[in-house]
Amino acid sequence: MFIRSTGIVLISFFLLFTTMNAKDNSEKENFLPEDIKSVFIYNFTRFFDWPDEQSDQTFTITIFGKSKISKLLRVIAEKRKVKRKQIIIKNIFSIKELKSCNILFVSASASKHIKAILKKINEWPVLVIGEKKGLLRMGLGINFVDMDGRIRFEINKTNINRAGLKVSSQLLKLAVVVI
Amino acid sequence: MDRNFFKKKFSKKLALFMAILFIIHDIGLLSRDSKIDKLLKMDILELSKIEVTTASKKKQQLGKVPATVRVISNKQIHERGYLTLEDALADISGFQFRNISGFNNYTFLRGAPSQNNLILVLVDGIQINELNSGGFYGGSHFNLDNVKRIEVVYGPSSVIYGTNAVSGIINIITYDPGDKEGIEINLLSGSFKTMGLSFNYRNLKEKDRTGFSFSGMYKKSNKFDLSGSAGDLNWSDNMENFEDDIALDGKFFYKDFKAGFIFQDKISSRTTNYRSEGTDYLDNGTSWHIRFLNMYINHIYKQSNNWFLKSSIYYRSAIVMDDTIAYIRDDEAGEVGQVGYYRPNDLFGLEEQFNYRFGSNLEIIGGLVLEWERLSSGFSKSYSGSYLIHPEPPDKPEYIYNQLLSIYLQSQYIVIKHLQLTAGIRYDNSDYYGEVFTPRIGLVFTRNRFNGRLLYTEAFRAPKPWDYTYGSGNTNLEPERMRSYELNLSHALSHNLQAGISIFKNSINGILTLHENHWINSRQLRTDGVEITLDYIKKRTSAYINYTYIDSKYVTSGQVPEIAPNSLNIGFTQNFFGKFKLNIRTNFLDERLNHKTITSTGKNHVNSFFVFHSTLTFDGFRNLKFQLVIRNLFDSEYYHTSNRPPERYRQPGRGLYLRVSYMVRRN
Repeated sequence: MFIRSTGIVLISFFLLFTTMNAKDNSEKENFLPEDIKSVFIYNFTRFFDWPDEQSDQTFTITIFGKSKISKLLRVIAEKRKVKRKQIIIKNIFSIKELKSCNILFVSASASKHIKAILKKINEWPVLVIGEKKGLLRMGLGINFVDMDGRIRFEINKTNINRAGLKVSSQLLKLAVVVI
Repeated sequence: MDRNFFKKKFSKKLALFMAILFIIHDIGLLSRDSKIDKLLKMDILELSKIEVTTASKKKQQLGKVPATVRVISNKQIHERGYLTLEDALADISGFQFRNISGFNNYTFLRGAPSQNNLILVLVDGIQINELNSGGFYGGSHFNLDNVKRIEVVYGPSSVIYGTNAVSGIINIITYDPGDKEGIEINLLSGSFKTMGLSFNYRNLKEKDRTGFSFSGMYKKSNKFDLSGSAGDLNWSDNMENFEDDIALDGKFFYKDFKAGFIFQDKISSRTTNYRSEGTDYLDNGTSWHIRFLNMYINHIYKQSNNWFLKSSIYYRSAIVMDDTIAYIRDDEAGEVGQVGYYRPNDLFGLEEQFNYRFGSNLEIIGGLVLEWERLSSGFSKSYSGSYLIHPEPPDKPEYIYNQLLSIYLQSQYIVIKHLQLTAGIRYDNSDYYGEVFTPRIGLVFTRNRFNGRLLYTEAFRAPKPWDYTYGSGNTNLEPERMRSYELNLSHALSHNLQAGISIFKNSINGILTLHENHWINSRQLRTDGVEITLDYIKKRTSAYINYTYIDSKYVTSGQVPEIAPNSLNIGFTQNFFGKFKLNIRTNFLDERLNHKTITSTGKNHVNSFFVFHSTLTFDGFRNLKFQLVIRNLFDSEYYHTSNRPPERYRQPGRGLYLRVSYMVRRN
């Protein structure tokens, strides 16, 4: 009898608490690397100035190669703007398709084309972001790295300056490597 | 046990419970959109600190094993006031215990009783089961203040971990240098002369990719008063029962290298192994001293997201120290005096593990393990000849040397969208137990808020070298083999509510059994079980219910002693005013068949029980946190089963513990 009544009381408590806080948000979630990278890319836009950016009507982010980041960036593009401009997300899979944009994200699968990509964009004012170890020194502006289960980023200031972009010193402080 | 017990007592409640699961199907989707919304509210610094699921090496390994995994977070460890590893495990489904309040406690998972040698315990992926027996030690020697989370993998996992990973794996993951950087000091004081001190310090220099963490713990306790009538008249009014624990661990990161050590030293009475009342055993002066040291160096070579290579060197040592007093007898006709034990064992190992991803559909993990093991052939003993005098340290025992070669390969293939097939095989070749092949195969279906797994897994527990030569010997001994079929389903009913069910059928064949004067592979164990879980987490409230049904039988002799058919755990935590947290939790265990008839009750089982615990936390005064932990809130009298001379083991009554934590964090 004791067991039964105690069980009923506890289950009642449980149900009471589950209905008491129906409007609260869940505390814990698992984030995938692409979740973090896509929001990083959006946040980077606040720390960069592009030449002649005033004249552009939209802000274009191009994703080179297959990547889940593209879907996530489209979700962000529906919710946010960059410098009061609509965000346009483009997916490309060949060098031929590559046109001027504000940010070019090169997926890990497409990083074998990095030399050709950099040759084509030459000194276009494009922030090139990669996600493969060793790419930073090949000409990228930002490279994502996996550090002990966290997504961090490295910055190549020389490449950014060469592209004619200005980067905030605040962002440099947050990078794990600055060259 | 009444075969209809489950049907009579729980079928209505279970039906009600399942109905509730489906009725509370109300709130919105756990979608990608909501994740992005949360991340968009964070700045870059906050984003940098989020630990991602697949980028973490440890999580990645577990994620690749298709199995039921349940996690106990650091937050849960603290807000529920867990003082030992067993405390934490008791609140998740599938666990039962034989707590002898002595030098060891025994943990049974999914209906398989053992001397802790059917479960593999790892700290940061390093096995810490005692080398000689293959069993892990229960008790207070785990520093829970430095534990980031405990991951419990249910079911066989020998494909990745080899011998002893039979009923499951308990992986204790400690904090890394980059987690909660700074210093933390914890003080514990409470009933039964319990006192403890722990500290940890962590520091990471991100730009140099170097860091270290160091933690330590000292804890002592008299466990619980078992003297005289409080202990079923098994021991005298002056019986001694203490445990002193020291734990130290450190981790050092340098770029792609990681080195670390785990040290545990435990000294405890061995009084409760024997009865002293009415026997010639004495219940003062015993001291079981065991020391574990594990050291490792890892290197990860990663050139792209498609593949990486992890190289590990490790050394493990588990020694029953030579100052151990195993028992003291005053038998004029036989043994007189204190008996010293000594049993050193160590192991050196190398592991090379690779992970390669072919395109987006196929991923392969493989590895090669080489181990050299030096085991004592038995306890080396010494005798003092008087119960008042300590014996000389025993001589070194004879060693047995063993070499092990293991190769494993496991692949994950995305058959169609949402459906993943995992298959793996392991080959072990040991000097003494020969060749063992262990396969596994599983299908994992994931879509939106639903996750389903259909699994077939095998595992083995190898005999120890001396099992082959015990008594008249048996050179034909083979490893005990487990086969398991499992269906696991889980569904996020809402943002906050997660429900899950696991249905499994296990068999262990060739269980080692003493026949005349040697071991043979004889008994077979069959277990059918169901685990149902419901977890609820919101900003200020969390709650859980889990229920386990187990039907465990030996093929020849029927119901397995020490395993209850029904167990239930319920608990909730409520945050008040942002500074107070109240946790109340309860464990129910059905009656259990005992190995022998209990004289005082005349029954061959120990009674069912409900036991309640409560923890009140105040976290709002500068860097200090105060916690009042009350174990066995209503001072219930309840017992665990026994396979030792005491017929049953009385469990601790109400205990009050105060914990004070002081934290200084960087950032």
